[in-house]
Amino acid sequence: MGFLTYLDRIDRRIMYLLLAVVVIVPLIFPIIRQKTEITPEVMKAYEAVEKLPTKDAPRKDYKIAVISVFFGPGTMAENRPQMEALVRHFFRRGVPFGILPFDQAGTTLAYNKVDQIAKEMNKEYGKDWIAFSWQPIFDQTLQAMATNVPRTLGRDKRYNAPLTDTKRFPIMEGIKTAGDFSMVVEVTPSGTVPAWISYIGQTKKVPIVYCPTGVMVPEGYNFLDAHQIVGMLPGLMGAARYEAALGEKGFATRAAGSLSTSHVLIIVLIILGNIGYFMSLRQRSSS
Amino acid sequence: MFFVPLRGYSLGLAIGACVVLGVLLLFLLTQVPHRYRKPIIIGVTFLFGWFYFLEFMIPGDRATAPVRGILRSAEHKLRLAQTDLEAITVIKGQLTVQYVEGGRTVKRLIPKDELKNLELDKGEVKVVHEDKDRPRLGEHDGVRRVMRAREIMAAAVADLRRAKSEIERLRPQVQRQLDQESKKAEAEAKRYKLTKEMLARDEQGNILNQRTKALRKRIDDLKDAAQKKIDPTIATIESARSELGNLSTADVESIRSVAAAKVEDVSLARSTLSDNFLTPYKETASNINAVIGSFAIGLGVFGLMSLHGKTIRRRRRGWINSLAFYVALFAMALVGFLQKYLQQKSGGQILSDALYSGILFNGAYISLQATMFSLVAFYIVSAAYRAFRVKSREAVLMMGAALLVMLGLVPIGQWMTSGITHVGWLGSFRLERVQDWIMTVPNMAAQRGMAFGIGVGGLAMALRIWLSLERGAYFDKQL
Repeated sequence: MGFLTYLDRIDRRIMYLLLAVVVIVPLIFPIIRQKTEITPEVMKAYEAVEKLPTKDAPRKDYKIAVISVFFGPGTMAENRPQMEALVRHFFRRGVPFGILPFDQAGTTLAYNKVDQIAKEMNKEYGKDWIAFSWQPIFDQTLQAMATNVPRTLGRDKRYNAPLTDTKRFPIMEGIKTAGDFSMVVEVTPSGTVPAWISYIGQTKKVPIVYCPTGVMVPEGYNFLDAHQIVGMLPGLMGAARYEAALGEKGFATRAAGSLSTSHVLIIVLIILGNIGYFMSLRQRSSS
Repeated sequence: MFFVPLRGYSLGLAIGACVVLGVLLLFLLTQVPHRYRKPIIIGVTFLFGWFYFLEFMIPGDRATAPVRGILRSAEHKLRLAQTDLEAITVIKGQLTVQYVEGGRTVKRLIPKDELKNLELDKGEVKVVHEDKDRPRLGEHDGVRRVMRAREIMAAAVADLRRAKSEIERLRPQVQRQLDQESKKAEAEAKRYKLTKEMLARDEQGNILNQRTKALRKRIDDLKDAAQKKIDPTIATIESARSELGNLSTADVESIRSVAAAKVEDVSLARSTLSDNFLTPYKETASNINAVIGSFAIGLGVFGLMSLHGKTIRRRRRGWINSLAFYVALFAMALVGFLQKYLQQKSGGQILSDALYSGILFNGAYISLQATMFSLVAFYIVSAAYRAFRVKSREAVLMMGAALLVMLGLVPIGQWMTSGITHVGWLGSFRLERVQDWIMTVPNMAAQRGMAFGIGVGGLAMALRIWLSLERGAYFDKQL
């Protein structure tokens, strides 16, 4: 009885230690390898990217995709693999895209990652992809982009050169307003997607793929059901599912093992806590 | 006429003058008697609100009105055709697939969208037969509806052609207006002896002011509407019409979605031609908004400095943390400015990268932020353990749903029910499907209910603040 009642008040230091172990061990030794199912919202995102115009599209159909980076170091573990999976898909299909950072720290995080993938896949800056400069004000930037993209975003991150310099940045050729975006990918830990829907998605008819962190996922289903977004990568698991759809095994697939073990730990702790709770109740009522 | 320098020292002077003017205005506001302050602030706020409201409500200029009218008519016709096509029953596509399982060949009929999952599940899957989506003619008066949709589409195409020729007629007119305005702007620049710094010019060297910018935008909008929206719509609708003519191969569902997409294109073309006399000032209004918003950053830094300054001066408990704030603030700012300077010196790039990117940014800032957030994971585990106690029926429901969602999300949960087939009603009991159902049905219903509630509450709150019914709102007392 003593042990069972102890389950009602397990020392939290033990829980912290257990969590650290179940997160770290599968990350270092990927012993848990389950198949990752592709859910409908991820499949929709994948199919939407498959339909995007490539850089070789005829002049009248040429558009660029935009990856809005709203994440910082705090949610990098969840958001960066989502961005990475989509970037790999864009590069693989030859879809031209730009990264548009709204988080100061995220600017460097996203840029370094995309630059690394671009080098791996032999993609050229300015032609296959571009990094826009950091934008401090969100709503006004979206509103202004609806009428003039190069003027609103100003300069690129790498050379600090104006985006109107199409000799240096052929990717920007013919890109005037947000209507010239083929897709917007919103990688975010915050509730920022409604602004994209209002200012760009609905008015300019640009498809939006939403990549929220796990806690923001429940809200995302409303937008998906209303066709305001075309697909969603829910948290780190969304990234792992996207990697499965791409047939690749990146960080997200490896981290899915850690997610599994940590979720199981939480469930076990909840069950143990309830056993302890009932035992304590019984002990109190009998005494 | 109000000219603003665009570059050089004069721009710095202008910015300084604007800051002084802003501070002066704030000071004057503090001197205004209390009973007048509230109406002044409400008046200014209403003015901004009215600007956006009127810009949205006032119809576009008279010249483009005929084009908009024709486009509206085309849009209406396309919507009618879309409605007709929607009423026709479409058999959902199915695939007959074949794969090897346990050494024997299995043949199975599955929905189209299950193919990817089955491939992941079983490896190589061969599609033996595909049932295309077809109109089930005769049902819901299918043939008559298809024929009528074709006729309506033909009328819509005629409208679109008319709109295009009207645009072609308008473009030279607007170009002439732009030329006249450019000349007028040049004459004004000469008369007021404006320097290069005070004038913005486009690639052709024409002066860019509010009026010329608006006219240039109109020319671009007309060109885009004709070439990027109307031309592709005509081509697509013509091809959809011919597809519909051949009833045996027609794929009604895809034609309907094409028509729906093109309706949106026409609607977009119409809305881009709806600029009114207030639209050119929208960018200026947004800039004013942005500037006012940016003042908040300055105020925030000022507030933090004053708070921590007081803590250090009075040696309050934890003053060392306040000192850390000052050190971090100045170190980051100093190295940030130094970085710009060092980049121009030989070898300075390496030093600035090491100092700014290496130590302060990647080494301290990013690591600290990541650490702060990762601590949340530990608190979540502890909180879940303590909070999820089965104390009532509602708690049982909530815990059950939470456990199913948690398991359905991760591979280990999906593995637990991986023995259940993907196809058929049994497939609905797979944990990832159960999780998906919980998220898309009960969760979505609850989320929408909350969103409505929050929306109505937010509106009421906004009105209260706007009308200064909230205590202390809009400089009511504090200023």
